[in-house]
Amino acid sequence: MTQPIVICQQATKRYGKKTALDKLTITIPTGRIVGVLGPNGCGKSSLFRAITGLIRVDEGSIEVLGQQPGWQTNRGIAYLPDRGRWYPNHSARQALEWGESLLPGFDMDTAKRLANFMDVDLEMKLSGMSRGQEARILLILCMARNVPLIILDEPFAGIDVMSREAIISGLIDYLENRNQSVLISTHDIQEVEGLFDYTVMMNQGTAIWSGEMDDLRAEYGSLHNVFRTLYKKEWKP
Amino acid sequence: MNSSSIFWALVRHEWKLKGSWRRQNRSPVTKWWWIIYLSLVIIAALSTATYYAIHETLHLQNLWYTTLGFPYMLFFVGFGILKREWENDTHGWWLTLPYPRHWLIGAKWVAAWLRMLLVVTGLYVLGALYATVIALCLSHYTFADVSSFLLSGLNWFLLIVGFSPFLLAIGLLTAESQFTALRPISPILWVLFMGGGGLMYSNTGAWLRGSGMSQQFTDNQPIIFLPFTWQVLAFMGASWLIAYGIIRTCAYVLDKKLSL
Repeated sequence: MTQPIVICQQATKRYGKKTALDKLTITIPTGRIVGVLGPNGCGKSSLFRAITGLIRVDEGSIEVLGQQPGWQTNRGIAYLPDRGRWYPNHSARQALEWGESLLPGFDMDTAKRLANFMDVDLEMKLSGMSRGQEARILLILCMARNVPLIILDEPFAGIDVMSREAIISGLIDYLENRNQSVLISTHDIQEVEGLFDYTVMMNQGTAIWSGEMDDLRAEYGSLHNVFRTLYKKEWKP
Repeated sequence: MNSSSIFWALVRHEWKLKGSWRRQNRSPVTKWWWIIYLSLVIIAALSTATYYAIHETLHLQNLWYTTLGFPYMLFFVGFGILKREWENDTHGWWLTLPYPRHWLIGAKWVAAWLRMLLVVTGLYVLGALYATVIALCLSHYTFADVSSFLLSGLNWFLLIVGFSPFLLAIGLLTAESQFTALRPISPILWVLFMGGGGLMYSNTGAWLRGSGMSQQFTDNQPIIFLPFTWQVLAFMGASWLIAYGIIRTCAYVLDKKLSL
């Protein structure tokens, strides 16, 4: 059996009085496109930061690619940070050159192909771009890497609805042919529903459901229904 | 790529001016005012110096007094090069680069030092040009004066370059303290640095005399190359060791005590 890509056991992370991860226990299988979903502040970004070694859990343990997270494991992870931006004086081409020189597994040809697909002008400076255009560059910096794990924290934020649909359908085609594990957190659940084949639903720092997307659909119907059922209490006035 | 080429790729990345979103958001009018004010200050300084030179009251060495603020500037160069990662929201990319943290912080340190070297060299060349033009145009200035001016400038800049690794490291540590578990000591670092710097400047005369520099700036005695006392050189050597210790501490804190 293939080793899971991420294993969390009783992982707890606190920021002062606030508990971001509360004894989180999940096992994410390898080679899947995983949606990590839940309302704001449920611990999605903290989980991703812990997986990439940006934070350390106070209790419990996290394993990624069979090791404890740290700069060494980041060699095999492409991570798009939540609310991350890029250097304003760089052109899109310079951003990709940065990726080529510093990110292991970065493939410039793939990056250029993706830039072409996403209508990114490589000579344009980031300072002259809209947030949506900037988000595409950041997405390319991750997607153009041949690494076992890609983590995208709110990758479609800022991209307009029309472009988002095209980009997501392009990503579905692109990821189908690659044997990579992908973790994606997003609020745009309806548009990305077709992207996931495995889901982790989080609430208040814990996983309230995790499993195959088909099982989730069989149990609750569409992702919209899942949200309405699993997070029902939050929506009550 | 091998380790050395990756480290230098990191340094190259840090060396380039990557801009600031905060400054980008300023209106173009504000940017122009900055350029106009800076130009006016430079014109005023050059005009004043030239006026005194024409009236034979300018001691060329005194021009180096305009660079007395360099130690403070170096602190803020170190501070800014790290703080900008947070200010630009690029720290997530920077900190997840798959390289040891001492490479990441070390690359910033080296790049800041190289930038400082470029600025110091540029200023020195500009100073040399200005003094040469003065000597060519005004008969009461000789090339011996220019030579003394250049030698005293060289001594002063060597002193700055010698202590720059420490000053840059302190700036990096102070910036880092704001985003890590070191936050409680951040005010202490500010007080120590600003207080220490203030104390040093309030005793500028004594400090310069102690370092062997003041005679170079003010007296009319022959200028010698490297007039520093052995204590100054010993302090310089110690400051390099301390700077290295600070950089290793910064790397450790980034690895274990991030507060994101």
